[in-house]
Amino acid sequence: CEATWAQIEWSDVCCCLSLQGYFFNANNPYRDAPSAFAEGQEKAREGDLNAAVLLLEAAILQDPQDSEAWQVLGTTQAENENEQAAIVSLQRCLELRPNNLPALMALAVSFTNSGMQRDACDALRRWISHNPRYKHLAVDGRSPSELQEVLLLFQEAALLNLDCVDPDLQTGLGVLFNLGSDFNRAVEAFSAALSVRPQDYLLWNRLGATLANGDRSEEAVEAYGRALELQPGFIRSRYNLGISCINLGAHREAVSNFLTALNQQRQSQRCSHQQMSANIWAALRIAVSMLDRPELFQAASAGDLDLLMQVFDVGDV
Amino acid sequence: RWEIYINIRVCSAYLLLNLLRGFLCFSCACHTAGNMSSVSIPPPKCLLKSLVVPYRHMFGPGPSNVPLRILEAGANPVIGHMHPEIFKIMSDIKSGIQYMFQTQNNMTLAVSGTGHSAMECAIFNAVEPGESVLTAVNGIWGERAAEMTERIGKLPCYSDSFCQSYGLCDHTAISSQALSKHRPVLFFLAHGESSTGVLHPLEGIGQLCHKYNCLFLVDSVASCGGTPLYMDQLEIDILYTGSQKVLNAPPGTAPISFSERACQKILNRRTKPVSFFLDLSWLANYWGCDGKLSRVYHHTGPVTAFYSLRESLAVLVEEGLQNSWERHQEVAEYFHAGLESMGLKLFVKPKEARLPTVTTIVAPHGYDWKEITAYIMKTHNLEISGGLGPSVGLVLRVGLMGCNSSKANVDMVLAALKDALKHCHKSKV
Repeated sequence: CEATWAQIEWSDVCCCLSLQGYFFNANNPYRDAPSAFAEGQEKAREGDLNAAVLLLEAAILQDPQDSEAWQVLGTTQAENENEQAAIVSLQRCLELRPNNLPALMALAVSFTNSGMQRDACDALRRWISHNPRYKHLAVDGRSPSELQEVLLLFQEAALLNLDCVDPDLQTGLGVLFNLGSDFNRAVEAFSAALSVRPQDYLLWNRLGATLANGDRSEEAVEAYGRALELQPGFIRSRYNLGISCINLGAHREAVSNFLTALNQQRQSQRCSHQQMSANIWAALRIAVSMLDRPELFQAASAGDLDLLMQVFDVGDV
Repeated sequence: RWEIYINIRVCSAYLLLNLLRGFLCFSCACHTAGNMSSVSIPPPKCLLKSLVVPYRHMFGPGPSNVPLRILEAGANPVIGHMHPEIFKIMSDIKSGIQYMFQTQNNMTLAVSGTGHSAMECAIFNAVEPGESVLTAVNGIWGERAAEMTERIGKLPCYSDSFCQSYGLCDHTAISSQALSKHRPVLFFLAHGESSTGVLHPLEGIGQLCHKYNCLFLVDSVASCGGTPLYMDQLEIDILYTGSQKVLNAPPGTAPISFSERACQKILNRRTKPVSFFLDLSWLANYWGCDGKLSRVYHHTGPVTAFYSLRESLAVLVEEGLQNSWERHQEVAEYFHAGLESMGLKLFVKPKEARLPTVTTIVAPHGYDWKEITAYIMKTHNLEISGGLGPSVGLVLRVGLMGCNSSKANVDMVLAALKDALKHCHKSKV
């Protein structure tokens, strides 16, 4: 029904192949590469997210039942600031392997970012019910996943860990507190998780985003800084950094950050406009419009990345 | 003798009732420990505090702000709903509506109630059980009309979404598929579809309907006064609008007019309309549209609302209809240009399909639209809306109507939006 009414702006994704609702890139140079999955994982670790996506897509086209490939594709797409693709991939992974805990957590995060509270809570409830450590807490057969109920479940689970911190459980708590706009508690949860895994760049980003959504933009910037130190190719975090710059009124810096992210995406493969994130372009246009430079706004609307990079003196990271 | 018998029966019943009442009061009084008051529900404390209403900029899809002149008109003393002075005011209103609608229809009046009352008045009078109705569903108002129509017993009601994605209906689709197939007695179309921000062209549709012996009903609640509309020229049979949009009067009255063709059908009904309150034969008499010398009590007209409606029509007459149309168009174009320069996108792509009174903006990526509207209300004391019906979650809606349609207000809204865009961008966890 929504599709009938919306004039939704599609990022010019033109693909000819679709599987389970996921749109694959046309002209994938890695289509028949052997060990595509292993290489894809490696590229993701290195921070070359676009290449990772192509390799993982190739792996899936070679074996569509590879649940792990779908999982890594999902998390990589999220890091690459492509939420819709992340959701579809993770859902596909869970169809093949319903008890995949990282996929459930990642899906909950993606739903949270998309404002889909019920679905996020449902994914988290499933996370508990499939988790060997906590599943005894989940009441069987109870399907409605209300935020308060699932939150209670996670808090009960946390009580089981008297002298240690389960960073994944804390991540779930952080997500739930985010959903309920209880940002201070969410910050505590992510900080607890980070105390166990200080090198986890995803957690640093989650902390930063929580701080930002809770109007603590300066602290958010610091957290993103840590994330990007650990993983310079982390597109989502750079996007978030740009947003916090907007919040702080630092519009030039915001533009710079968005341009850096877009450039990184473009550099990875000789890819067209298609593989750059539509969200980042949209955020860039808004940031540029706040500079009151109509000619630059023109360039942003037209997608002229080169001109903008020149004007803002953005080099390669 | 039969009547006396009845009367006695009635009287006895009445006596019995009074006795019972007395008994109950007595037991209540006993119950409240010797307190002789029979009021068991205490006076609400909230009404012992003064009424406080804030001022805010009403830039949503309605109601719009009411200028002082019209508010003050409503503060005039209340007189009888059938006093000659009220009949004079009602006559002024009728003339004003004829001007606003560009019609010579004698059957022109204001329904007591808001836009929905007029919608029901139109439908309940024009349609009888067993007849079929066609509604063009290009937004929420078509859905509402269908919903109302379904309540008149078992009625074949066809809602066709033969409108394209941005809400404009294809003429050939209307005639060939719908009118000839279903042979409806009434075809409903929203002119200003405020849920999607679409202005639907009306040319040719009236003629098409009449070819198939069908009445043409148009909802112009969000459009009338802000964009050209010629009722007679367009062969519209029933047209209505609301007081609380372009007219800037408080919500409470809904101007409506019926063509000769519509009157013929309505006044020759086989059955009575399901609603006594909205029965046109009664309303026509109250408003002096039926040619009868005397007016019979039907309902208590909302006299205060009549004063403000009369004055709002006077304001329109002073400005001039064409000037009002041009002003709204100019302001809308200025607004749209401003929005696009901020990186926002308009929901309705074709320019000629954009409703000048209510603008729909694509909800920007990366924002929760509810946070934008809440932030703007809290920080700028300004109301804008989210989507409605089919557009929920997809758009922001800004209404600039009547006195609210000005470049200064556009600048205010743009500044508020800019501020919200700066502060409300959601970060990705």
